[in-house]
Amino acid sequence: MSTFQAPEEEELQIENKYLKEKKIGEGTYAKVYRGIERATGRTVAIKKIKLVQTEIGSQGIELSAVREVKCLRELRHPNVIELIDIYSHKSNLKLVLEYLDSDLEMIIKDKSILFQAPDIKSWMLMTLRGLDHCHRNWILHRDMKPNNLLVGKDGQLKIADFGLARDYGDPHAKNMSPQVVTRWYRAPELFFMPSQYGYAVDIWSVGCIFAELLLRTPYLAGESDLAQLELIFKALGTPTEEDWPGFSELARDMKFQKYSRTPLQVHFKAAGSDAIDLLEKMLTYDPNKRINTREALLHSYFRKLPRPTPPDQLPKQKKTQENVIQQKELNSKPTIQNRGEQTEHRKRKAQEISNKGEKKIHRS
Amino acid sequence: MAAFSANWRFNKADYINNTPSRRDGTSLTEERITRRVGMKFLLNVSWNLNIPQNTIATAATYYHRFFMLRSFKKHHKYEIAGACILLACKTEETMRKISQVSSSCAKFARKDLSPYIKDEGEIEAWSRTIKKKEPMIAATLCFDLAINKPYKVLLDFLKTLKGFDKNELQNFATHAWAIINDSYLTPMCLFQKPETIASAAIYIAAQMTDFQLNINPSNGLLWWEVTDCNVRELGICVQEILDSYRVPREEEISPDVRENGSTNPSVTVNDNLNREIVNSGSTTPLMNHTTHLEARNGVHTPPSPSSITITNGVTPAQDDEMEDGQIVEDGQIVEDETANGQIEDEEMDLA
Repeated sequence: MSTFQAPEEEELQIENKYLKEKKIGEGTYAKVYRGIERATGRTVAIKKIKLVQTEIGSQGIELSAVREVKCLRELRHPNVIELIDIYSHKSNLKLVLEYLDSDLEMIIKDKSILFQAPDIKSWMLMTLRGLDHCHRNWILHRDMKPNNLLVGKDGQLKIADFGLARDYGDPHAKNMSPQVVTRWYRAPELFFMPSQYGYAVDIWSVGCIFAELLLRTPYLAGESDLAQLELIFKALGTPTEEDWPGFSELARDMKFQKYSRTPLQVHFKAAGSDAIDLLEKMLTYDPNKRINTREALLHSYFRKLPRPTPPDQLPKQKKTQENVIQQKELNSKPTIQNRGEQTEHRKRKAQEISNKGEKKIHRS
Repeated sequence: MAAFSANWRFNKADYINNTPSRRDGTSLTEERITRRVGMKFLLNVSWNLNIPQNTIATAATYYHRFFMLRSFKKHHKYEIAGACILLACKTEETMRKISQVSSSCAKFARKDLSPYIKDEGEIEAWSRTIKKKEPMIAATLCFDLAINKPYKVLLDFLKTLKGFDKNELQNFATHAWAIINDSYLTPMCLFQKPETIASAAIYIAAQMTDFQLNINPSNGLLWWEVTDCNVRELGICVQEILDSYRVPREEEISPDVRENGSTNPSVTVNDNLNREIVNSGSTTPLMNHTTHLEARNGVHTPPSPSSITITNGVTPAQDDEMEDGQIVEDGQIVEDETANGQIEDEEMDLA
């Protein structure tokens, strides 16, 4: 066991294993750098977690960092981001993660890409496989959204950002914070401030992502929490006691306008009947009746033709392709000129990550 | 990726001969005492902060693992215990503020529990130390922060029991739960699987409360098959737990401890109980009882963690001698432990 080594030596060894290249983003609690593993030349992302000692009100290691580390140490799946290494150096905590240069949000926004039905099926399949792995390890992700579904050069989709993830299924799983999941993807039961909820919240988010893939625009983009609930009811009809047993109990202080349910087929004209059926099951009001990952993977949508596109044939962003070439040059000879020629894309990514940080609500 | 291949089940021989503290010249007895005193501190602080037992067990596991990899002479037991609590509170999602943890630590390290003393500087020093130690502990533990604990095995087992008297079941469950709690005072979680510890606790609790477990194959699964544990390991583990409650004989007490004092009121408190446990189960475990269970109605409610402790009620003030509650500099730690160690710390006499 290597653990009997002096800690400083060991840290230094790991530190030397990676070459830090370029800052690619900054979030609320971490800076992300792109780096290279010296031995293999593999590109990695280094997440440096700030541990400011003097800051007033600091609580030691960020809770989200602890969550991320705890969950990623347990998960290993082709559709979940890989935690390659982790070390502390000069009172900083550094996570070495897989480097993926694109995410589903960027792909959805890039209007030059055309989505075919098999492409959407392929992304959905990979998302559900990754999520199924999390759920089978009793981990709730709690922040599923296209922005957190990274896409690699080989087209593989990977679930990332476990900063809100937590264990589920321990006997003391009470007092869970309802302030989770980015609002547009938040399940309706979370708006009623429950102290307990389950895997169904992730499924709702995946349903929203599915709808977004079909529509090419966020499906339920609410301005505020209440507006979001209103929007959900508008789109799917105000739930009755039959749709969601216990709903009238939950909403006893609130008055909602009664919307009647319009069939999803009206909004999603291009989608097949299987796709609509799966979407409907994912966007079910009653969390107990909502489909789970296992059932979703066995749904006829994935079994019927057309087959999902193989990951390496999925549409990609063109800018990403340029990136690849440039990175190769960079890897072979890291000169100053090359470093200067950063593409717009990377700046955008950095911008996005910092925006993301601002958007996120800090939760205890 | 060396840091990722850590195996967290240690060899007992390593614990006896080859811990970092041993290489720094600490004897086995000394380490045992120090470990125990630190654990007592951890428990006191946790109880003070009203932390759930599940989180306490996580913190205790971190603590024991940490001192298998680092020496007591380089890291103070109280500081590590405090930082372990903070880290465990985060991983188990039962958040406590760092100010709460550090003020509670200061209180128990000072050994003056009166609420009127408020030394801001001292609390500040504690919170600075804890913040500094926390990432170091996480790194030492290879960031393996998810811990499997025996409680879950016990609760799952209790769910399979049907048709028992409610009070009887409650009594049995409480005993088993308390035995698991006590197992964390010794580094047992380093050597045994959670399933084994839970099963040993179930066995001992059943013996203490005359609870009839299924030991007859014709009535379905045998109880140790339900908990999925190896009977051989179970026997060893039962013996270990019983040994941890045993009052050591005179000749087993090392001379440096004997000097410090031989009388302590808590000996008598716990003595009878210890005898009872030892007598009830030390010979050929698992083979004494052949009566099989009778179906009765009953619903189980899990025991509340706060209501149960078998360990003697030593007040923290007696626990050890640390000057003024200040954070002691590295290197002068294990000098003056009192006689408490003598009664509590002979859990493993494997000379």
